[in-house]
Amino acid sequence: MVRFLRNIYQYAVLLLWAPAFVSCHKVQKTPAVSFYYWKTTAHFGREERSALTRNQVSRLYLRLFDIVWNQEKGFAIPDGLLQVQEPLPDSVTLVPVVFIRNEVFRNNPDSAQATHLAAQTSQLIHKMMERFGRHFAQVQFDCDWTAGSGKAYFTFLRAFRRINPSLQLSATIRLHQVKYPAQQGVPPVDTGVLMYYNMGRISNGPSLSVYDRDAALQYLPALSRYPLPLDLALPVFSWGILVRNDQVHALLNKTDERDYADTAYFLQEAPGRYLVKQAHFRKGFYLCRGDRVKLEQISAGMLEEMAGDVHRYYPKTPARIIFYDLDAFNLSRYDTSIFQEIAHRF
Amino acid sequence: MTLQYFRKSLIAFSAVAFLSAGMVWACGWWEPDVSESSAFAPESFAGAQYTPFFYEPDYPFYGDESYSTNSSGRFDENVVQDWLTYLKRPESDSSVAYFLLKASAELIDSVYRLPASQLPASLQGMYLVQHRSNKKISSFFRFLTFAKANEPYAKGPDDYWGYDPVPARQLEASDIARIDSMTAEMKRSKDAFLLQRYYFQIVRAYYFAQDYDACLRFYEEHKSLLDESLFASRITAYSAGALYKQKKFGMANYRYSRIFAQHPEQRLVAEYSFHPQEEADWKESLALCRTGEERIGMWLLMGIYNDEQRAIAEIYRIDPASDKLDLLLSRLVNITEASSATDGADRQQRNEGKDGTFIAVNADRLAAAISLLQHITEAHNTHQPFAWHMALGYLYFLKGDARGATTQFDAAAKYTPAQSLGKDQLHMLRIMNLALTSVEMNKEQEQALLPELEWMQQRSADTARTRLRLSGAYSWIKGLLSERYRRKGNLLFAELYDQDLNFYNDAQRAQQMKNFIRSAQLSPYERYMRSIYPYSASDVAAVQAIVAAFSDRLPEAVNLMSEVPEAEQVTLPGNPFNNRIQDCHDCDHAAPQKVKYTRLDFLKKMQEMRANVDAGKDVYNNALLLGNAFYNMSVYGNARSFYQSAITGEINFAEDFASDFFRGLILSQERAAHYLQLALKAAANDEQRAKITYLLLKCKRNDYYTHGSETGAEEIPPIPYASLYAFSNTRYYQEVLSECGYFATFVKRKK
Repeated sequence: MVRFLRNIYQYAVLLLWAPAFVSCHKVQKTPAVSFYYWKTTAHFGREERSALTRNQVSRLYLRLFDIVWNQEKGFAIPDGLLQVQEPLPDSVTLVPVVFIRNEVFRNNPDSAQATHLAAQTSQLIHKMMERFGRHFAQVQFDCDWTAGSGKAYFTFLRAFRRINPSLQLSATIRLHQVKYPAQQGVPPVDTGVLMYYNMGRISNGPSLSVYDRDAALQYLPALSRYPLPLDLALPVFSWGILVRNDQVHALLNKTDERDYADTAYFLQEAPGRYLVKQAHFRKGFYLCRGDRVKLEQISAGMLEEMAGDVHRYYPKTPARIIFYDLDAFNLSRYDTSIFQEIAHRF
Repeated sequence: MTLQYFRKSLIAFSAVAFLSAGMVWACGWWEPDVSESSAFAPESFAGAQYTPFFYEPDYPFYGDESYSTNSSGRFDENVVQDWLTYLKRPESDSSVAYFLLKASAELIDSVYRLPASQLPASLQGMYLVQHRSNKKISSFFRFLTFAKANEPYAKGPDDYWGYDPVPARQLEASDIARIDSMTAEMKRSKDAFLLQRYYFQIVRAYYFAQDYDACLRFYEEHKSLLDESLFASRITAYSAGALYKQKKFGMANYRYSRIFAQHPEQRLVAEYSFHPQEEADWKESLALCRTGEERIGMWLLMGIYNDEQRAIAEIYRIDPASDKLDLLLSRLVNITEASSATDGADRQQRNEGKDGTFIAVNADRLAAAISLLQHITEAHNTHQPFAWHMALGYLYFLKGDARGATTQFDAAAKYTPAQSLGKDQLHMLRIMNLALTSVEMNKEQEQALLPELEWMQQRSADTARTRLRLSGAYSWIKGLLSERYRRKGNLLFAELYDQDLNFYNDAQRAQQMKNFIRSAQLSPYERYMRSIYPYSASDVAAVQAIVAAFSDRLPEAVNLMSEVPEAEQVTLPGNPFNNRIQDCHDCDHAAPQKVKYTRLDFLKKMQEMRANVDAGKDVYNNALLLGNAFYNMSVYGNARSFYQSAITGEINFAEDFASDFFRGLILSQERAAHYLQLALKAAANDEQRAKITYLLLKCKRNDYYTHGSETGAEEIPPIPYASLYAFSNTRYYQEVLSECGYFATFVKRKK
């Protein structure tokens, strides 16, 4: 009963405030639509190019490489460098993105090392962008830092800025980092991007790991106090969780219900839930008899729900919404107008 | 796929740098860390040649190669050996390895072209340089001029932070010219050894230039040069890689399986490269097999790779006596053992099932494995029935079916195991099963267990040498027996087997333990239990003294602490009778101290003060100091080391204690407040009253920290700070106002 009352109270507060927010937002511009491009080999097919033009995308966030910890050598190295065999779309400004695994800083919290790593990273970014023949004014770093690695990560960011004083810096921010800025720290960058996905545990349970509204709502109120201006990143990818013996066995990328339509191999147990009837290879994975596949897909309805929730709590309209990620398979799952529709929710 | 891909790839067929300079071999002593959660060693029956493919939950491979990435130096030794033999040079001639693995293209070129007099003195002395006119040696250097020039294609990066912009390293005119020259060399030569090496260079050059058509065409055209050698298998491996790139997975995987079967040196990379994509290409690979043995090889890889149950069934159907079944059987058992009953449970959690089986495994998985093994074991036609009976017995045990397990273990015992570890493995599983059935723990069962437990104890000292996975099994047995004694109400024996801090809550129990340890009249079984109990009588005395002290039984505490030898007495880091307005343990520990108190000194001093309080002597000061002493003994005070001991552990904070009782002891402010109240009553003036009132507020604040509040959101602790207002005329009040931020805030708010 108490809980019920508290909910009522919350809704009442929301209702009272909603008109104020709406009136605030009326003067704001609609967020620009952007995408992440997150592959190791660049190939922009017809679908990707048309998504860029149709949505008047002016800025593309291009993953250049990851930085990983090499256990054997005991130092950080770049991994999965983007290979470019054809010209990159010239209608967009490119923002190079570098993904840094948390263990890079966790295993090596030394600040001199972080500074050295910043210099190496800077060189490689410039070298690659030069090879692509493209100018850039901003760099984005993506690192799910924790309290233990934050110090070294922030040293890295400061050092990178010292080497590149004219570049704008941005960094991805996870929900838990928004909620606890005092413990987690705030990265020394110009803007952040709120990663509004991968918020739950990857499991066989009923909730989705990509998007869990209940979990998200716990964090959202903290948005208004976050000290950085935040762009918004929303998911348009889907994956399958392969469950064997009740345990997560593998993640199946780029998959949706079309892959599980063959009833000789699968029995649909519930929407998005399949039982493997017969062992077989599929898309490079081996599925055992008795395995289960849990599909995690983000529907257009979910995207609208996300936009609605975020809109309510964002202190001001985000300058852009970056969809993760630009890929023909992902695009095929939505109406072409979805990205504009989501942006216009703000 | 791109060059970059291979830089990071372990698919060494692609990255095999024939002339690699560096050996990067992540070799070394490797200790399986599975012995806590596994009781079944594959080494007890499966052949050592398959060691890297034993089940390893955390790394791609088991054993010394658990995360070897030695893709470029993998074949260096073989290459050098081949050339030493060809050139008829002794192993002591290190120049062969030098020219092959270290020398630069320029240096080789000089040696090949320049007269001896123009070469550096260090080279002039070498046999190979002096005998360059020898036909074979001359061919060696000529070959190297090509091979070294080919090298940049295959070699991994020296500079990880470099970026090669052209993923497809296309053949340039000079490369094509070199391949043509090598092809011409092949036409001229009749030397099979040289022909094969040129063949390798050309296939590999095409491969890295990503000209897979040319690679495969050249491979097919010269197939007659292939023999059974390891070197030839490397050429075939490039062809498999090229097929894979062309998405001809069926043939690629078939070739990988053949290489895996024929060349142990290639197994790691073949297994890693083997990767069926769709059911159709997997069936195609199977259809390519010409014999039963080839099909077995295919299923073996598939079994390692993914489905050992299905692979066992298939191989068994082809040849029940196949020794390939051993490896898959070990994987089947180890994977079943590692399967968890609940999603996300870690190994620790799984080991907590104390009564019943060793670990809580997935029931479906276990049932399927048992059903398969029953079928095979009953037929008695495998080549090593020992392993099958033992494995099935263990699976029954995991299910909790001790009788089924015994039948299988008895059957296994009739065979002599092929591996020396087999006997110990079976023995250990029998002991686990015996423990499982010893439910009552009566004298008879104790006697039956005694020699077995002593065997475990003795073996636990040398498991690293034998690979027997004993440590988790031994802890499990101890935990199980402990639980059984606990259920019988024999808490002493329960504690001897598995330690629980709560045992020492009770003074009588602790005394009983001390007596047991000191007893000269223990039975052999009791002596065994005493030998596994990790604490001494004085360890027990220390924890008894700690409990007595917190319970304000000071004379008893002094007596008990006196039993702890001086060498084990802890010196408290700060003055335990001090109490500041704002707690600062570091300051207390750093402050100069005239007297350093050991725990015993401290307790004696407290006892003295207590006597004074009871006698009404200087009650204010004695009660104040006693209050401070109890304050400092608690988790909020400067003498936390008072409650640290062998049994309570090196614990600072209450939440780290695995006992509510001990948590309560060290959190409680009750004794401190009790003596401070006595001091308050005895106070002679407002200064004294102000001080005690404030120190009592600190106790209340600590209680608030301990218990929290309804909302947990107060900015300052909701305690009666206003009680200090009565003393606003004192100096102490002013000191509190300036030092205690909470109080200052409180005062400001009220204004």
